[in-house]
Amino acid sequence: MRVFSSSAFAIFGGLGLGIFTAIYALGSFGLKPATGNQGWQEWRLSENDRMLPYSLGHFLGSGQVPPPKAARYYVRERDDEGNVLSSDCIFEISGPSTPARWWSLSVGQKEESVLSAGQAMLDSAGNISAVVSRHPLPGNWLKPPDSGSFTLTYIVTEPIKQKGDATLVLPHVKKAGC
Amino acid sequence: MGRLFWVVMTLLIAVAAHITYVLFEPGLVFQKKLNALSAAKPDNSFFILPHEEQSQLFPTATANDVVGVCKYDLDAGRVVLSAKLPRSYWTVSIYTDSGAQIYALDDVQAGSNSFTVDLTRAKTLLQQLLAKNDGEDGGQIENLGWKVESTERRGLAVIWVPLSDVLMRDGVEKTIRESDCKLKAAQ
Repeated sequence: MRVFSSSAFAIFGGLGLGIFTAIYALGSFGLKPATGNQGWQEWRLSENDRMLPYSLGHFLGSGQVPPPKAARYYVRERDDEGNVLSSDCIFEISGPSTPARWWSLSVGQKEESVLSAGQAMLDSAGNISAVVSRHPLPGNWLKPPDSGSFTLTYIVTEPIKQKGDATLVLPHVKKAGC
Repeated sequence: MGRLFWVVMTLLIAVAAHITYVLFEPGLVFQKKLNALSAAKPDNSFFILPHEEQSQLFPTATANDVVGVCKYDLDAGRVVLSAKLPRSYWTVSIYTDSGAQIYALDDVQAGSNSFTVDLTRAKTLLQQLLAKNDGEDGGQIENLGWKVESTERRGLAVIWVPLSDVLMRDGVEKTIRESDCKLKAAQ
């Protein structure tokens, strides 16, 4: 009887533990902090990365093909000061335009609102500034979901290599009010 | 000692379950999604995704862009993707059924907006060993453009054209609709 209960515990406990940790790992193990860009996290899509199965699994499990190898995929859920990105607040996004063939900045899981390389208005110095707000505002405007928190996704396709430091500079995100 | 044995057993089962889940479950979800997405479209045919579905399948695409898809099946022979693309930035990515990207091409690399990609099933090690030197390729070289070998029978070719203005969509779609994806029976 004792052997039966112990083996049942080992099987069901092991399966439960393994599946639970796998679900958790698929959602987070493929992410790493984006070097030099506070708050941004990057999905590890390099072929040499040991966490690649988790990154690929994350996208496939969402019913998506993984991003092309030439793409860099960044996400964030908090602003530069650590505040959760919430639909109740207004957030300003600013930074230099990314040197790439294409980029897109989107808000929300189901891509409620998108700004892309071809649409964004830049200032005379080539910088981009955008605002995430429930109500329309002049300039580059992104609409968050109607309620709750949201994720900001920044996808850079075929970044153009810069001389010296190859680190991409990603936009800053600051809360402008609630 | 007995308790330690069962703890170790539990951990070993947990590790096995973890690895199995990570390696197989996402692929099954993806295949199910793919089948649902193109249920009305036969394999080896080219179609443009409705704009509300394209970012759900191809993560770099936004709702403004144009995404064309060929769901290929190499079981009955090779598949030829003939692409007709606009004069702008575009990418062609080919994935296997398990989500591995086996081919990528963009407008600069291609140097042309009209080309073909020949998809064939990669030979197994045994087939390579048994193949003769004067075998298949020798007499059948065709001017087909690029040739891609897939280790898996099924997969997906995705054409992505990002657009700066949604008003360009109709014109770009019209161009891309001339693309084709056809099965060429094995000879």
